[in-house]
Amino acid sequence: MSAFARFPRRFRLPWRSPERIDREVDEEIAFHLDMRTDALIAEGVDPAEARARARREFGDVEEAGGSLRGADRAIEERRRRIEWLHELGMDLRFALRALRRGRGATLSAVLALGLGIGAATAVFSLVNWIELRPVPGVADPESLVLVQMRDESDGNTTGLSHPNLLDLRRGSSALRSLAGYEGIALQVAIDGAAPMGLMGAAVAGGYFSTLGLQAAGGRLLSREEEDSPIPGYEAVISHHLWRTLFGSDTHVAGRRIRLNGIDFNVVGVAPDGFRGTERLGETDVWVPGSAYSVLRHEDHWSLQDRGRKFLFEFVGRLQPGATPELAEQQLRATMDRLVKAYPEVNEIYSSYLPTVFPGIGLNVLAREHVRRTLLLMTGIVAMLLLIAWANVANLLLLRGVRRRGETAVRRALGASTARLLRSYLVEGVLLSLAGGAVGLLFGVAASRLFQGKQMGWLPEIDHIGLDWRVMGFVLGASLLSGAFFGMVPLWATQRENFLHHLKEASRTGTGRVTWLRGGLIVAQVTSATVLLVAALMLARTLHALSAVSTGFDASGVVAFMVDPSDLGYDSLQNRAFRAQLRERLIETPGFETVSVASSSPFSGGFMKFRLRPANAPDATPVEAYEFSASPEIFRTFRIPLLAGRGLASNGGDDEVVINRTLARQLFGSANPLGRTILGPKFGGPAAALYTVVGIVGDTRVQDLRSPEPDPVIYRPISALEAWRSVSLFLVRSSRPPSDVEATVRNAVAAIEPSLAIWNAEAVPASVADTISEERLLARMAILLAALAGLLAAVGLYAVVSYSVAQRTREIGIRMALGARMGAIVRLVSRGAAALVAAGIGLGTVIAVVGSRILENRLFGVERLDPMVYAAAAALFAIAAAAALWGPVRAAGGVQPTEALRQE
Amino acid sequence: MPDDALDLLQGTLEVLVLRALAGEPMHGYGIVQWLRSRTDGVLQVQDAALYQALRRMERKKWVEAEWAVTENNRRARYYALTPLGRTQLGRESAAWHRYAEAMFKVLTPAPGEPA
Repeated sequence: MSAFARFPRRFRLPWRSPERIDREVDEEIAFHLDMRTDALIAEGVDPAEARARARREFGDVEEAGGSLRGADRAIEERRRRIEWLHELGMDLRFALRALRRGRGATLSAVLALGLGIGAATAVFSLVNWIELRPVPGVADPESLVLVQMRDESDGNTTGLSHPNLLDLRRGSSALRSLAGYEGIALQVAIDGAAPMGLMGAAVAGGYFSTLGLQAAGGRLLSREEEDSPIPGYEAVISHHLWRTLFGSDTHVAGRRIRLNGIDFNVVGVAPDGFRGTERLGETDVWVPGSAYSVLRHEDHWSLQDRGRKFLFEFVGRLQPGATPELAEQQLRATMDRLVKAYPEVNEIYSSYLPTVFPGIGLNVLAREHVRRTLLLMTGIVAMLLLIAWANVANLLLLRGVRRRGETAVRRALGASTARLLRSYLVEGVLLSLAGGAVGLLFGVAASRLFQGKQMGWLPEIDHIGLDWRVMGFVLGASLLSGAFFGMVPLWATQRENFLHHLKEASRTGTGRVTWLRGGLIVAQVTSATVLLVAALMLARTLHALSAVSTGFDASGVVAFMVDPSDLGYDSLQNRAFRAQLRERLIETPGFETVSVASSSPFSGGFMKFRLRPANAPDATPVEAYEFSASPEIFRTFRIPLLAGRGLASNGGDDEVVINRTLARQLFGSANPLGRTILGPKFGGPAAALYTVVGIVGDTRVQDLRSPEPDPVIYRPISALEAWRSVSLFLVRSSRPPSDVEATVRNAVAAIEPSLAIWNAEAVPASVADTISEERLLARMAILLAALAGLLAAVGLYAVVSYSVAQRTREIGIRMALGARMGAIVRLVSRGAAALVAAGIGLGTVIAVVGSRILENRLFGVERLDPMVYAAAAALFAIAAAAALWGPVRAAGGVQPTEALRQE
Repeated sequence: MPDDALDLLQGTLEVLVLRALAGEPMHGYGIVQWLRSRTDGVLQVQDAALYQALRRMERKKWVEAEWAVTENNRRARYYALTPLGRTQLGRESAAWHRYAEAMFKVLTPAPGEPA
């Protein structure tokens, strides 16, 4: 009998293979049958009969064998799992102990990793918020497409009338449905509450059913309601509006809501988070298509009027298996037929073709630009993450070398490579998870920096939410880092003769480790240099852009919009309202000027006029920004009058003032005063003649980057007013913007209580907005480049200090043999300096090639500006010198006697 | 097999095996022999069922198995009681004793009662 039962087992039994299990079960049964047969024979039974009886007594031998084999395999499997968990527990304890022992290194590794992962997380959460997350509430987003009527030659788009929309959809079997929508500015009020300016949308063609939305309360609009030509006064509100305006009233369905002064019935609430087809959408109210003309107070035109295009955005759902290309093909073919069938109203669609874009969530026109910006950000944080990785890998490598003795002992005790790898992996993953946790905190905090920022002309980012994608990203980045870090120490010691380490407890790095360490340093310096170059270029750009003179003074100017035509005022009533408001405001102490204009600078809301001198039919036309304004506009923006006079409040509609640049472009050096200009006329194809009455100073109103100021033509507001309502007010005052807003609000409420004001904001802010993306990128690049430089310098410091500590004895011997201080310093710093130089060189090459990506963002700095590259190299060289200073001094201070006594 | 052999009640087999292994580790055939001799052949175990029971008990960690060499120099799979198995044996035999006593009391005729 074996002694195994007497002692609790301390060592694991070898795993049994399935084949071995099968063999052993057979052997066990055979043993049993043999013993029984022998016993029966001993009792005198005939041998053949004995064997048969033994089998009979046993039961069904085959079946028993099968079930025993199954049971044994299950037991073995379970044992393995338990063993594995047990070992994992051991590895975890071991790793925790190791991490605690090297507390300093652990802490700096976690911090470095936290910075890297944090920066990446912040950018990823932005990418997720803008590009990746699904539009809330929308079903099966993969089969949705956005459609536009687009002129390929200039990218302009146009709209569709309701009958055209329905016909288009009917002619395209690849689309299961096609819905159209168009935004409407709304004055929204419920009983007793002050009116608010919000965005609404008129929808047609089955908007809600196309998107597959489910009401959060009440019901949504049916396709019949959306398409009914009889004005429907039903409205769906956003979850957001339901919370803020209706206080989450569960009986909201059936309540009244006043839209532009007209009563509508709330029928239901859209799903939480849904604000239109764009992720950053801001729509709060949806009404049927027929409500469009009602809300705009236009004489009620019929939805059935084929010539009345009012839907400008379209979303469609593809049939299963259909491609966007097929849908586009069919839509274009259908449109071709519609052009032929209704040439008088549909002629325009021979150049504006239906164009299909896969996916919803991001405005089609913004997609390209936003993607490029996000890609650039991703590149920048990837650099930092790379540096953090190299940094931590180096730390672990140093520790791995120091722990060689330990590794050797474990190998000698029989730990397999796989076992060691797992133990190191556990340590690496543990470290990385800690880094990931720090990174998550850091990333969430850092993602707040994106709040209130704008990219291209997407709406402002109000907040960035966290979801499982971001969490998954952090976890993935951590685990990936962990796997990488787990390999490092093993890789450093693998295939080396561990007996050697066991005996000698050698502590110097061998060729392989030195090589890897050097490579990691070079990688860090390279990335840091690239980042530094990018940061310097973006910073120079930002600086140059901020220094561009706009030619006007917007400090103290507040813009706001108030449009009584929302409530159905005609142009006469509008003018009376404006005069009244102006009177009230100008009486307020501190208010200097009150003017109205078609748009404010850098709002992007300009029209471009194509102009030429009236008596020169051969002259090349000049494009100028059109600015309709009241006479006070020049005082409001402090634009100097250079010649002639300004706009007159009672002058003719054909009087214009032009700026100096436009004067030069039109008339060269000739005196422009009194000359006539041929240009377009509002509201029709006819041309009009304008007389120049004054010249004002140059301004930039749209483009900061063009070599010369924008050409601008100023026209009396009365000309614009004959065509559309005017709603933008510009107030110059010595009072703070919030104060101005309150005053304006009160003044408006006193005249028309159910009228809200929109977008009150200081104009300088909107000038700054035009470069907010540049500012964001530049700041981000500078911050990350600084972190990158710091990390790389710290990494360099750690490696060089370590190597000095290792070479204390060698240095001591050299000193004892009479080496001079200078020689020692050279000895220690030579290798490090070479690595830094290699990194800077490589980084410069990569930056030269990669700067192409930045090229069209740069302003006031050349892509290959040698100063930038020299400055980046010099900056990093200084940082490296600072990092080397400490260890080199330590080397110089080695006492030969002590160093020699050490071992 | 004697004619008055009893079929084992469900769950009884495991207690018997625990008891068999209480002395020393045994192989499956040894357990059968032991049961036969201890009950004079009254309790009959089907061999296949015994091995199934041993697997169940192995999974419950009451017994452990290991290959060893018999007195006749043959390799056999020996089963030994684990500490957990020993505890289980104590618990189950106590329960069986109480059960058997109660049965006995019920079935034994009181004085003056017809048997």
